[in-house]
Amino acid sequence: MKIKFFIYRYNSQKKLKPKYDEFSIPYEKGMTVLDVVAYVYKNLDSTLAFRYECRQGICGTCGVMLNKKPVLSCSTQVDPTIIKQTIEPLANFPIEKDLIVNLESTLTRYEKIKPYLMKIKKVRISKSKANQSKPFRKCIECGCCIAGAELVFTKKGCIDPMSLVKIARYVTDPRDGLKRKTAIIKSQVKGYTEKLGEALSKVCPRGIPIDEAVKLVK
Amino acid sequence: MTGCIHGANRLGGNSIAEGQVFGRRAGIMANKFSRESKIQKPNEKEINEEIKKIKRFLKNDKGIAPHSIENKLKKTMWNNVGIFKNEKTLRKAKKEVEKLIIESKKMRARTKIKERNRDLQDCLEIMNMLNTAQAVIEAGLMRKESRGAHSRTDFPETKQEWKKNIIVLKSSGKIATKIVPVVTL
Repeated sequence: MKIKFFIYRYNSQKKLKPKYDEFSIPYEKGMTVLDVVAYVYKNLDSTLAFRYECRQGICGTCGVMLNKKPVLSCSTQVDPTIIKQTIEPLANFPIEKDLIVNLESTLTRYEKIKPYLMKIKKVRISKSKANQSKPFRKCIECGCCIAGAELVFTKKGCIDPMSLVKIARYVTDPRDGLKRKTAIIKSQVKGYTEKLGEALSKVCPRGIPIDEAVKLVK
Repeated sequence: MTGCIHGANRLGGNSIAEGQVFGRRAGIMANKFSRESKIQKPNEKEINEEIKKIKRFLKNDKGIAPHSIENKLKKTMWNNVGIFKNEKTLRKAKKEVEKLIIESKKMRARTKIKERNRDLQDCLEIMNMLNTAQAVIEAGLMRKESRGAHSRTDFPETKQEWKKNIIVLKSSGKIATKIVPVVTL
């Protein structure tokens, strides 16, 4: 059985319009989206650019849009009931080449929130206290939440969901000595409605309760 | 592959702890070293050789696609140099890797594009993979005992005389091994 995939093609170095290339892929049971992309690269078009590292959903480099939904390509199996499917680079990011997006602006924003422990308090933490930050520690910074959100956060000054989860991670960590919550201005999180938070939680491939993070930070 | 603070255990996750502790120390030392030393001119010859090494994969119009070698190497290593191995499987793998090294001389990037050329990246990575495979096999053959994640079915017991580290070196294409004592604190 073959499935048709329409893969987004673009090269930011050459001033050509983006296009979709059609590839016919022999379907195998258990096939992931990354398998499809790798099949194209190996057998059909060696110029296809895409990112992946670990193949096991832990490194966060292989995010793509599968049928307009952000997924980690390595840990998403292809649905054989859909005969025509699209694979695109993550939405809401500038595109560098084919399925590779430019992360620079996102990472610059990310750096600003100081995504590391600051003014470390040497305290003894009980298991239950340590577990408070556990759901937010699962973030692998794949950018799927940014790609899956409505455009609210791209408004100037608004915190993106990836940074928001990171803030929640340190707000719930008793060792962190930075006043992260008070540093946030209301306008930075204004766009995060309860509904958006819930939608983002569904998008996250790591199952992080982003709605909880929103409540915590707000 | 093994050694250092984790001893013979080298399963997933160890590298994080080592990278965090020793990576930090290395960073601090590099900072200190760079402050105390003068800027040196890079060796032009070495740079040119490296560029040549990279470009050679772009030259040929005919040859083998990198992933065909990668697939063969992975299969060989998986079947013969997994956690459980013995003299026979290791020797077999050694032969096959040597064959693949010869085959890799014909390896080429199928596309010449400059931006994000994955084929070229694969070529370079596979050269490193071949080197690593050789080192793993060589050390595995040498260590006639079982210890940690290294299990030789033909030598199942841990031996006191092998409380040592094996260092594998490669200079001018030849593999050499060195046995060094374990550092005790």
